Amino acid sequence: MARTSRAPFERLGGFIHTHRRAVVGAWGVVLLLALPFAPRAPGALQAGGFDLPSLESARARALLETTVGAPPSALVIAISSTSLTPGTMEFETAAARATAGIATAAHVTAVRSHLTAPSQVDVAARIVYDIVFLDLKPDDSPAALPGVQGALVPVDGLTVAIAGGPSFYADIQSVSESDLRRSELISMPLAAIVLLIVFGSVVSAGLPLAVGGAAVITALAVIFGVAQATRMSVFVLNLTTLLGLGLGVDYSLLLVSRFREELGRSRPTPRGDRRSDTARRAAEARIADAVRRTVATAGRAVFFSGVTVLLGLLGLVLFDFAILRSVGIAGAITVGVAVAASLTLLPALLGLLGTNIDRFAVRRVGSGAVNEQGPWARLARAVMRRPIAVALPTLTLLIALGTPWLGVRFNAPDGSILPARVASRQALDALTAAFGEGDFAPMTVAVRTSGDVTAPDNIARLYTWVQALDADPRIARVDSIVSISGRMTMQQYQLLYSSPAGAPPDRFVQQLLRATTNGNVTTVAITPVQGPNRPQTLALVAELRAATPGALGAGAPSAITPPAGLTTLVGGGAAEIVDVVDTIALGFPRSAAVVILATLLILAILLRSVVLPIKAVIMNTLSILASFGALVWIFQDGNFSALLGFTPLGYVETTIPVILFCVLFGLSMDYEVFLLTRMREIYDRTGDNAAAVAGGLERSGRIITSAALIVVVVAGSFAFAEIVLIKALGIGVGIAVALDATIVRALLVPATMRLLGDWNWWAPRWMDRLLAGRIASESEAEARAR
Amino acid sequence: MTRLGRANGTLFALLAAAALATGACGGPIFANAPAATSAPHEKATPEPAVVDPQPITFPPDDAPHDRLTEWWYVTGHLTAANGEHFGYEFVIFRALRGSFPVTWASHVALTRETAGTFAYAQRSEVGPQVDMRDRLSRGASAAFVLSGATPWTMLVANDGSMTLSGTAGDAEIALQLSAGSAPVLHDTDGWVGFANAGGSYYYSRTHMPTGGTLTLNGAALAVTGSSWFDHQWGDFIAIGGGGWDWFAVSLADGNDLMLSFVRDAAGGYPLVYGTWVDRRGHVRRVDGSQITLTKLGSWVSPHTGTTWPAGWRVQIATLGLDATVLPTVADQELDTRASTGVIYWEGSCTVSATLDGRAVAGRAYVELTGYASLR
Repeated sequence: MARTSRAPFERLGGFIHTHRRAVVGAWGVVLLLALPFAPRAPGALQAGGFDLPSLESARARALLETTVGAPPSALVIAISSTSLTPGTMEFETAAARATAGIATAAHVTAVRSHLTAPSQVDVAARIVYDIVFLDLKPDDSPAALPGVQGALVPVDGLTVAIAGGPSFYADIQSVSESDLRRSELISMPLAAIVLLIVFGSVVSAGLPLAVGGAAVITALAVIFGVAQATRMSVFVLNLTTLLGLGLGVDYSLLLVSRFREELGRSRPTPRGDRRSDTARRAAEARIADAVRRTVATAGRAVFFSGVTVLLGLLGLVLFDFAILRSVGIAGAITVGVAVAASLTLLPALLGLLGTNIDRFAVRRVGSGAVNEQGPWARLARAVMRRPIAVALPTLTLLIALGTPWLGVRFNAPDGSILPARVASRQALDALTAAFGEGDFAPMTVAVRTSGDVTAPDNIARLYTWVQALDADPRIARVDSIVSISGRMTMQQYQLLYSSPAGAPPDRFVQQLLRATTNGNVTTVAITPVQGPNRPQTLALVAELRAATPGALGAGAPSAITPPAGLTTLVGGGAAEIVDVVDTIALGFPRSAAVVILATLLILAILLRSVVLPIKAVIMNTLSILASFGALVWIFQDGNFSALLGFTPLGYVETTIPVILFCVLFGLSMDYEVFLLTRMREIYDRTGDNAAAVAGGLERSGRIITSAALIVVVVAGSFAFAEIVLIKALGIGVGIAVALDATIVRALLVPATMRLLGDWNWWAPRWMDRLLAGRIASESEAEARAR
Repeated sequence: MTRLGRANGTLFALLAAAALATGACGGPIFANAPAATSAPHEKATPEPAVVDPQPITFPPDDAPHDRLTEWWYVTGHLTAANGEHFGYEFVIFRALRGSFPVTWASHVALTRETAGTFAYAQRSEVGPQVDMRDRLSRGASAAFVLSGATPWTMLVANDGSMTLSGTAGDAEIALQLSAGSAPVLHDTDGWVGFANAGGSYYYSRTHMPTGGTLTLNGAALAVTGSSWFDHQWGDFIAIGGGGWDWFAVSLADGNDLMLSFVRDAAGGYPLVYGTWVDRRGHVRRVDGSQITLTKLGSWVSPHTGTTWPAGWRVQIATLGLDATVLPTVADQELDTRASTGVIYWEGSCTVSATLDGRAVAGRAYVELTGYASLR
């Protein structure tokens, strides 16, 4: 009778304990199956993931690809020398030898040599570059690198390096992998030390690491499988480790700690009776009860916590960009595996270990019993005595930490996010120093005319517009069919393109026309004076798109706005950045709303309260905002960049706050769930709000501190990453979790709980009735478990 | 106040100080230098403005000019000791197109009038190395070498004399051209305006005594004759949107005539002009209104399917000239899409004329462009 009325998690606990050997065996099989695939996951991941066919820049590229055969991607070969001078026989012979094989390399469709483009030569800097056109989409372009690299021949006196998108993507992939290895080397021993200190024995400290490790290995193997079917970003790798280890350890901490608490709560078998069958059976029953109660209480909290993290990550899946979607998918997989391991493998191991959990103690291990007058409870009571005096400065601090966020400048990354030691970064630095940033990220405008482009009236429109572009000081160069020479007049262009022979009597013009124009479509390439992520270059996109109402990033019209009669799609360089940044910015509120609403719903179900979920969301948002502020202060403004070893970007990469929000919303909520469920448990038992707050804080204090410390250690280890974005992700998570586990949990939560009083627990009667009937509360579950 | 209370007070003070510090910070702390902004790409320097026309001087204007289009064009008629007649063409094109590197093309053609055969070849090259003035010959106004198995060379000496060597099919041409008479400036001052299409500087050396060797299938043949040299340059690309018919007529009595009929897209002639150089070297501009051109026949190319005019009657009342110009060989078509992107007809012709009622023979070179479809 009692069995049938047990809550689902209690039944699960009982089931796991009964079949503990089978469960551990099953996990062994899972790990054996996962082990061959997990190490292959990094190779299955890809850089990029910012390509969307619906974006204007992508439509521009697609139109030019289909109409004029524009190459979908390109890379740059930088050729430099310290002793030879471009233009001399010696330099050119050496350059020709070094690059002779590129034209026939796989995926190479054409090469624009510096010999045919003087703008690709800087004699003073002794550097030239060739542009290698590829038949691969930008995201797939790294596939061309092995062929091109293999075709390069080392030549004495010449340095030849590959730069551009494909090599940038490939280097991000390899540096990400080395970042991960470095992070694991740093975080794993530190996490082990923290666990050893917290649990006091090798066995109990090893369990969270085992569960975290199992979660990471299994998740990586699943991600490897998913990557065979859909594009998965290289950033998934680091996030999987962060979440897998962080959450695996978090959840294990909660469960192991609860298990020891439950073991400590029940009366141990007297020493003298331990060898008798009855005593053995009693001891086994005691362990079974502890496992059952652990899963029924802490397991339930882990489950709901996992669901909130999962919901946060699913917010990323709502984005169309592969980079965000794949991070969301991988995160969800990791969380799912971590929850599954925590709810099955760990209780089974606990059941097998029993009291041996304290074997190989490194310090005196306590019974796990809760002291209601412990330091956390005292702190909570102190805060609750002066709630406003605590809440106001704490809020002020969090808001002050968040204020730099008001000055955030979003942008997309370029080669500067890579460490200076990487070849593609060095090549890019040398090239931009010689030729300027704009040369390597021109904007490409696909222009449609009414009727044939070469009709005199269309040539007139095009010429007038190109003249306006040429006159703009922000634009270094315009390449188009009406930009052949500054000495040619509009009438000459009209005559040139109206040849009755069907093609202009000029080989250059024929080549130019073939490469840029077909029917009513032509290409206008705009090379900005500054780099693509500089404000004045981004402003060009706004003005160019002003002619198309509703276009992403469209601003006020100016002299460079295309005139009536020319329909344009602005792509390339800064336009791609605007598309990515604005699309993410537009999609973020929807994702955030879904995440917040879903979290509210889950918390309302778990806590049977309307007020607490709202408060939890506000607390969460505050700690995330503070971490966002830190992100701007550190990575945009450059504070601590010397200590953290990076070059300040001057902006925040757009995907970082989005990923951070979705990851942190779940992760921070994790602690909120641990804390509030404990408070709810006591409130349900006592009906005393203050006692619930103090008791909840005391019971969860050590666990949350330890869990947060480990997440901070794991996330903080990414501060040693060489890729600035990964560094920012790690530091952002670390700061938010640290704030959440300290200032928010210890000060703000008790203060606000005290201020709200019994309103904390308010829920409409229908909701209370509905949930009480279906979802067992913590105390009910605990009561049943006893 | 309890210990915790005092601790809270201190904590709050720290929090407030930290909050204030966050907002009050001046420059970044413990910071590396921001990402080095590379020197902005310099705004492309506009090509220097030029005011046309300017006076033509020699020898400087025999040399290349930094203009969109320029060519050095030599055609001539040669006779071997065995009586065989030849026509030849040797031209160097030079093009400057904004940021494109300087680009060169060359065509060499030989018409064996007696045998009725025609051969031509074309080359193109990119870069300044073709211009060998400074390296090849210090006494040259222009010196061009287009690389190949046998280099093609055109030298224009400071005195206007020329040296040519090139190949066309199995023929090798090696000729020396004396400067002959003084250069002739067309359209009075050597500047021909094309209205909206721009304009061109244009002078000729219409009668350059020529000698040298033609090597045909390995057999050297000494030749003598006369050549006509045109030099044009300017910021023009296509003129009239159609093409042109050009005549270089050398009459046996020593009079020379250049005629240019510029066609528009509709087939009309918006610009017709000519230059008459009498045997004493006097130059006279011929107004288009004085010229009547009648097409006498046509020839359809088996190579390109183009229908070319073949044979003309040229009448100029003010000169008392009535001339019939007929191709020596019908097939003198050059498909040079690989080098200059056009198909044109450039051929040696015979001339039978009356000048002031007096019969006079002659030879001519005719160039026809814009007839072939490139679609």
